[in-house]
Amino acid sequence: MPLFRRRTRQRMPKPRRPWAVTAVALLLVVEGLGLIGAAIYDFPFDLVGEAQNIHDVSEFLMLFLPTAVYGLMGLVALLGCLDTLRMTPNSWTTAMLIQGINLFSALLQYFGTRPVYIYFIMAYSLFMVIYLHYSGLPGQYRFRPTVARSEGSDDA
Amino acid sequence: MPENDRDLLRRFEPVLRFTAGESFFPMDAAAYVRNSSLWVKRPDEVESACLVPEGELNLEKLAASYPEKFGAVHYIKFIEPLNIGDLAAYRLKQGIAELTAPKDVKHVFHPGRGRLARVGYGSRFFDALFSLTLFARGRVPGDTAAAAALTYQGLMQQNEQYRYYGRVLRRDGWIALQYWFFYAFNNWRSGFHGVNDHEADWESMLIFLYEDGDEVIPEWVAYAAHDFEGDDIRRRWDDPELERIGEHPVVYVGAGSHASYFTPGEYLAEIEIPFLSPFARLVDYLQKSWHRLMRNALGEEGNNHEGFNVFRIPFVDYARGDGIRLGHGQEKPWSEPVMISKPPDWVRDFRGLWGLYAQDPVSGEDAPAGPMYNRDGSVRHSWYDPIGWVGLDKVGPPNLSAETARRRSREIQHRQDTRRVILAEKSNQLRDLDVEARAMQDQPHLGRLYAEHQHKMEQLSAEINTLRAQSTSDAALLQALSEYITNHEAGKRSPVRGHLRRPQRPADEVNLRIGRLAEVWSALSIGIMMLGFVGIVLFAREYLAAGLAALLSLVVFIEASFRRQLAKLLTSLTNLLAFCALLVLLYEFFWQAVIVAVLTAGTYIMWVNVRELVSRK
Repeated sequence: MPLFRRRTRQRMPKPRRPWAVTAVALLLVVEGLGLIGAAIYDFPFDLVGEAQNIHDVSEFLMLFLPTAVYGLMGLVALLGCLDTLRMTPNSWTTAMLIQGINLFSALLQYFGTRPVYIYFIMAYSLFMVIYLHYSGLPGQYRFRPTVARSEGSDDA
Repeated sequence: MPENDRDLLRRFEPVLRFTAGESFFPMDAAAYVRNSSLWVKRPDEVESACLVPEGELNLEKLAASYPEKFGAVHYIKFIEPLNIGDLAAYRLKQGIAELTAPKDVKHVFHPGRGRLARVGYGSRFFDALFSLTLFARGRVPGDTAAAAALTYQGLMQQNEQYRYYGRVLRRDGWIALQYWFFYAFNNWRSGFHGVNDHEADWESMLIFLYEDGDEVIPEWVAYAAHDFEGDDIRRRWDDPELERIGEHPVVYVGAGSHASYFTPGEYLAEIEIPFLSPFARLVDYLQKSWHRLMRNALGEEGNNHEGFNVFRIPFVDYARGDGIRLGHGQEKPWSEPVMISKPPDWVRDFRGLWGLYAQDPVSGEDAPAGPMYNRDGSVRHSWYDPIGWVGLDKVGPPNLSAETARRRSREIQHRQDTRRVILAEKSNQLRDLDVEARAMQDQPHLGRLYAEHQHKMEQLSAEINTLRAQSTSDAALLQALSEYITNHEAGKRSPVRGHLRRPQRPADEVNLRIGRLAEVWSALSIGIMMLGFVGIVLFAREYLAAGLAALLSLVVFIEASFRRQLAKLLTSLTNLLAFCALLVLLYEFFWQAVIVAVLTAGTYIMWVNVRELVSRK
């Protein structure tokens, strides 16, 4: 009979990442790069030198807003890709949030200046939303590496 | 020794446990009627007309005939609302009594934490709106309930009695004991933050027995709660959820609503406003379709598609059971029941409402009709078919189940034997035809006959196939019946809760533990939203739409955060935006979308076929 029982922490074997999750990560990389591209495309280079001539600050800032939003979303998508590869529980929600913000921005622009790239953003985000919901993908993210705690063996 | 109906009712009469603060208990309907007047509201008249004034009405006069034209509504009027002065005096007296009452007193109700946070905006707004409409009508919330409580207390002081109305029905091997409880008033809204207030309330519960020799054995119990019916409202006698004191089932009565529950707790009751029903159903349909289409995690795990529906308003129904206890061996015993198995005249002939006809289409403030009728004068389902009402029409008494199974086995066996003979005949015919057809193959002049033979053979072959499929299916059924009979004889029973689909459950502890901050937010949010609206109208009317959208979004965002539903909210919004984007894309690029879809489908088919070709090599 042992005098005391030792608690040990046993690390579970690293789970194998499902192929569908890896695909989401790759899609997020493509999306991130595309959004950064859109941000650069929409950057008002011609206005940068004339900043001192613009008196309405809010109008000036509004010109930079799409660039800021898409640039930020691009970076978030690239970071979200890392989260997805590590299968953190919130990465699915982050991926959905990126799609939501992209779609919202694109729809706002559709009713405003309507640049041509918004259709690509809409189509890509639509595909991502469907893919993120499909084939039980949300359930795949729930599987996270856990640390199991076990009682020490009697011979300890 | 067989018992008579009254003895049976008394033997199994329920124990009712009320919530602290309940003001109305099952009473004698005759006393209520004696203190009421009878009125009629004719469709072409603004004011109602009094048919029998207060003091002259009794059950006999209630059952008398009062011919009226179509659309007229007869109703009983129990009390007049208190004026503001009387109500203030009543509230003051009640407040002093609550303050000076000992801690364990059973007439003080405390809503507890989390009520506002749990019920959401719909009910908070609905509650405020209804109070405003009362003010507009020159009344104050709770004036009628207070008047009813005072009158009821007066009646109880004269003659304190707690009565139920009992009905015994024998059908399909069941003995149904139906207990009807009459309450003078339903003060769910004014007393317990619920949906509605109305004069008079008829509630019922049922116990189903079967006879085994000289013994009567209880098998099922069903409690009426709001508009629920079917399998989910009944529990088997041996179900652990059914609490019993000896042979007396315990009913936890909803505070003010008088709905019946099996377990104590706080229930979320969802109310559908009639004119919003189509929208509520549309949202249900869209949610189910979305889950089915996307096969997302929720749908796969629990098959639980019931989500939040903005068009249904949740309210809390308190059935804590910490108040007065009524029944056998309790602090308040039952009086002698009134038998209504053979409906007395006042039950059968009075089809009107048992309380004020408020003509309030939104919140159901109209009084109910009697035990036998619905508000529109049609007979209640629970009256004409109590067995079907609780979903027992498909279930036989247990002592007859084995015999029924044996009878069905014999019938199916007989059907199998008959089918075997037919199959043999048809198989012979098919073989004969085949021989004949083969004989005709080299005879050109028999071409027509050969074709007829081929046609007959195809028909016969199809019939034989159908018969064999039926035979296989019946064989499996026979085996299942045989196992059922064996289990039944061994005393094994089907799962006690196997019939339940969506049983009502009280809110669990996790849901009840809502933080103080969330509660404060819930109390203030609806007011903040209204003040924000006024602020936008006064100071930024040019941004009214954008401002309102921003305000609403902010409130919804904060609310979802408190409810830990932020991820779900974001997902739903993204889905909505994706749908809008799809519409935009289809609008802008319809033909391109069609071409891409066809190209994708064509490429996919080619890929699948080529892969198959390659794999064959």
